[in-house]
Formats: sequence, C-alpha cells, structure tokens
Amino acid sequence: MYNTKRELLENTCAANPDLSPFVILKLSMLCDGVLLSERALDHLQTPLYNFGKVDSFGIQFQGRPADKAMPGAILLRDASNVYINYGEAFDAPYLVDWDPSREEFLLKDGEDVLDTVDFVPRPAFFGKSTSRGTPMESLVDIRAQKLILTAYERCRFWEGGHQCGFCAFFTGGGSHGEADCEDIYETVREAVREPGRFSEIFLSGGSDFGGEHPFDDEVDRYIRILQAVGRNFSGRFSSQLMAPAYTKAQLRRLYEETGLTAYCPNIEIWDESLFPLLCPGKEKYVGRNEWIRRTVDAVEIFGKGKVCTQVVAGAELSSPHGFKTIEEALESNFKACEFFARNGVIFLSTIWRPHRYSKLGYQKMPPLDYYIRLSRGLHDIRRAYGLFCTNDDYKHCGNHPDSDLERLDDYVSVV
Amino acid sequence: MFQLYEKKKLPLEVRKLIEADRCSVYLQVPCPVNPSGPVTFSCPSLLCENGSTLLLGLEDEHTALGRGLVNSLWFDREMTLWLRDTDITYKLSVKSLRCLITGPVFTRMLLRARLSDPSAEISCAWELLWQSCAPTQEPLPATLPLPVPAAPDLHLDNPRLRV
Repeated sequence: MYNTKRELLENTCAANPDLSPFVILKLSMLCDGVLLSERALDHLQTPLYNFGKVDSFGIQFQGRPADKAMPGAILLRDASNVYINYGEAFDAPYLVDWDPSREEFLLKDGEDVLDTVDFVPRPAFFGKSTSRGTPMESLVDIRAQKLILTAYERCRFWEGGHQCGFCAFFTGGGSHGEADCEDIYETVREAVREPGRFSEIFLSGGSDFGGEHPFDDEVDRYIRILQAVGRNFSGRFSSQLMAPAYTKAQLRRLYEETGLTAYCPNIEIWDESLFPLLCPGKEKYVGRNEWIRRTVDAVEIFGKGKVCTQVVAGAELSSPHGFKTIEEALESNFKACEFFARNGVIFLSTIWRPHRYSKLGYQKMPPLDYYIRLSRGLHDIRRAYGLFCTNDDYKHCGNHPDSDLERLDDYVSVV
Repeated sequence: MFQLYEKKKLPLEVRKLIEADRCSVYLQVPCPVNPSGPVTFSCPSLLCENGSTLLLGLEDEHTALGRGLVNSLWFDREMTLWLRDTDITYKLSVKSLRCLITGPVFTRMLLRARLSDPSAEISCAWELLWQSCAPTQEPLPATLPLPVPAAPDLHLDNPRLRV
C-alpha cells in the first residue's frame, strides 16, 4: 500500500491526528523489525551500551553475530521503549545507523533518515559477580528504568507440550533453573547503587505447578526471592510479580510476607474457545474462568489499579484457530478490557512477535492498523474507568503502546 | 516529526545568563487537559549544555507542566520561555526535543537536583530546542507555581526507600 516507511508513517499519523506519532512509530518498528548497521553495532560495543551476550529469558535467535554483544532496547526521543528481537529475520525492517558527525544513532528507511534514537544504557553493575561467582547480568534483564529478575529459568508447562502457543522462552538451552536468593539480594543491592537508574523491580519466571496445591512451590520460591530483594529496602518498593493466577490464600501470603506492590496474572487470550488451545497449561492447572475470577479477586488484596493482566496482542488472530477478522479480535479484546476495568483490573496489550521455536511458529503479524486501533481502544476504555498504570507505564515498564498513550491524561485528578 | 532537528548556539549573552543561574525562568506550555490551552509555570533553573541544548528537570510528569511538555514533543507544538534578569527579559520560542529517563544527561540532572537534598527526585529531564530569541518588553503572562507531585515517584536508590 505504501512505497516507503515515510509514506506509511506520515499517512498513518495524518489519519490519527490525536494519537502520539511516537506510539505509531513504535508499533511500526515492532511490526517491521529493526536491523542494526555494522557501524551502529560497532558503536554499541562501547561501554555505555554493551549489554553482553546473556539473555535471561533464554530465547534462541539465529541471526546474532557471535563476536558482538547485543544492546538493550531502543529509546525513542520521547523516552518510550522499543523492544526488538535483534537477530530475527525481518521482511522489511527499519535500519539504525550511527552518524559519527552528529554523534547520534539515526533511524532510517534505506537512506531516508526518519529520526534520531538512542539505546538503553548498560547498567553500572554489569560485569560484576556475586559472592558465589554468579555474573550479575546473567540474573537480570534491563529496560530504561526496570530491573527484571527471573526466578526460575524453566517452564514446566513445556512438560507434555502444554506450553503457551506463542512462547519461546528458555528455548536457547543452558537454563540455570532456580535463582539463588543471596545472588538476587547482592545483585539488587549493587543495581540500586547507581543513582536514578531503576524505579521498578519486576519478577517472573517459568511456571511451576508443583506443591500440595498447584503453584505452592512457586509461591514459596517467589516469597523467598522477594524477601531477598526486600532486604535492600526499608518497606514496600515499587514492584510487580508476573505469575499465574493464584488463590487468595497464596496472594495474601505474597502481599503480607513481602514488599510487593503489584501483581500481573496474564490472561494472554480472552476468547473462551481460544484460551485452552493457545494456553493449554493455564487451562489444565487453573482453567480460564477460574483464572479470570482469581484475577478480579486479587484487587481485594493489592488494590484497584495494582492488578494487571495482559494479552499477547495478535496471537488471537494466529492460524489455524484464531479469529478470521480484525473486527472480531478487537471486539474480543475490548470486551475483556471493559470487564476487567469494571472490576478494577488494568488490561494491557503486549505485541506478539512470532518465533520459530514456539508452537505457533513464525507467522505473519496482524497489520499496523490493528495495533493502532487496539492501543487506542484499550487506553480509552481504561481512562473512562479512571484506571492508569503506575507499574506498567512508559517509564516503569515500556512494553505497552496503550499505556504510553496515558502521558497526556490528567492522571492524578481522575484516580 | 520524521525529520532531523538541528541545534544552534544560543546568543552569548543568553548563555551567560543561564550559566550564571541568576535569572527567573518561566515556561509556557500547551496543556492538553486540565487546564487546556497555554499555561505558564515558574520553573526551576534551566541548564544550558554545549551552548545550544536547554535542559529542564521535572519532578513529576503527571502534572499540567508534564502534560504540556509531552504535548509539545508529540505534536510539534511551540512553547515560550522567558528568562528574566533584573534589567532585561529574553523571550524564546522553544519546542520539546527529547525526554530522558536514563543515561548520562539524566543522571547529571538528577544529581544536580540532589545537591541540596539527597532524597530529591526528578522523574525525567527534558531537552528543549530553541528557535528564536529576542529581548522583550512584553509583560509576563500570569504564571502558576510549579505543580507539586501528588505522590513522589521515587527511584529505588532514593534514601527514603532504603535500609
């Protein structure tokens, strides 16, 4: 439809004059991907940007040069975060190049310069090891202001093939299993020495349904790790646990025994018939309706606006079982958002990036227009209910184009 | 949007005024909502880096001033900056160029804010691109004090959170 990315972007912005052009650009970059020029990649080996070669989510990517470290996420001029799977095969990607005369990274389409961008800087604690000799950077992932900890580098849903259809976590091999609490305590202690570097701690991991009741072992693990993190703070600290939908008793323990402030049991897919097909493990050990009920119940413990749930936006349109039209997919997601908003839960989208090692495999993503309409719609619904993100906004997270839109909202007087 | 913005050096007398930190700073921003329209705030001191980049630290973006800065950045909307010294006032036309929440410039702005109070915060730092600058005899519009954040947005290293 458009010959160049400039045409695409300018026409799309003109068609959506009230929408942030940075959100449009971000979505377009997520859909089309980004390549790094050799010059850019060379400059990204410098100490400010070099993230090393560890990926704590353990996803395997084939196109990464063995002798070069990958950088962190891209930062647009408005500080929004664009998380690119470097090394993937993209059909028509953007290009990031380094301009030595301007001393800036340029976002390009061929030779056409569209904007300047930057990258999340390397944290000061990278390169350090814990007292057990564990490289601290092997335990974390980093966004601009978010410190991501992985408690368990396995997902037991993969046993028997019950993993979520879009998931490629831990397919890179070399899993470290359970994180050591002392390692976590020391890593967080070192990370927060750097002034103003982090404002959010995020904890997640693969699912572990073991225990007297499903997920008891996992809850115990998260409590141990959160208590280790909490040794660095005098009270509660801005933090979110992304985990399965737990019972009230499990949640009460998590809230009362740690400094956790927010909780995110991802529904992934709202549709009743698609959920068991795309999330068979979640269906088997909890069930869709129970998952929804527990998510709503969690508001009683964490408070309105402190419970989130996310969909992997686009997976609901995947072959062979997904919706056949964008309108059906939008209707499904907006219905979900409305339901959760009525119950004080923030329903967010993350963008599905198909991966060859997932069950769904590599598929064409939905068009940009779908994601624009989805982002706008979810934001509008939440705003109507006075729901605004604290832990999942552009700064504390950066993974949700719909929450990026909240920056123009009169946040304080509505909440 | 979708262009490269070129920075130019500020007139020497304006740079000296900012670097001496002896002028009052007022910024009029295009507020999108509550209030809606141009609103002028009395700002904390401004920095000038490399003679061309204007930098402003913002304690909390969830305010009318924050919304105005975002509005300027997203939709290329103009703002007006006044620098008022005893004998002269300069009026500059500016736009938001970049919002920083990490990196060396952000860290410098944060540490500057913490010089007098180790628990002070800035939520973000803003680069402003100036376009025109001239002395003015026009009276200042009515100004509002800097908005006070409803709830502080603390970084995890803030002494208020630490053991």
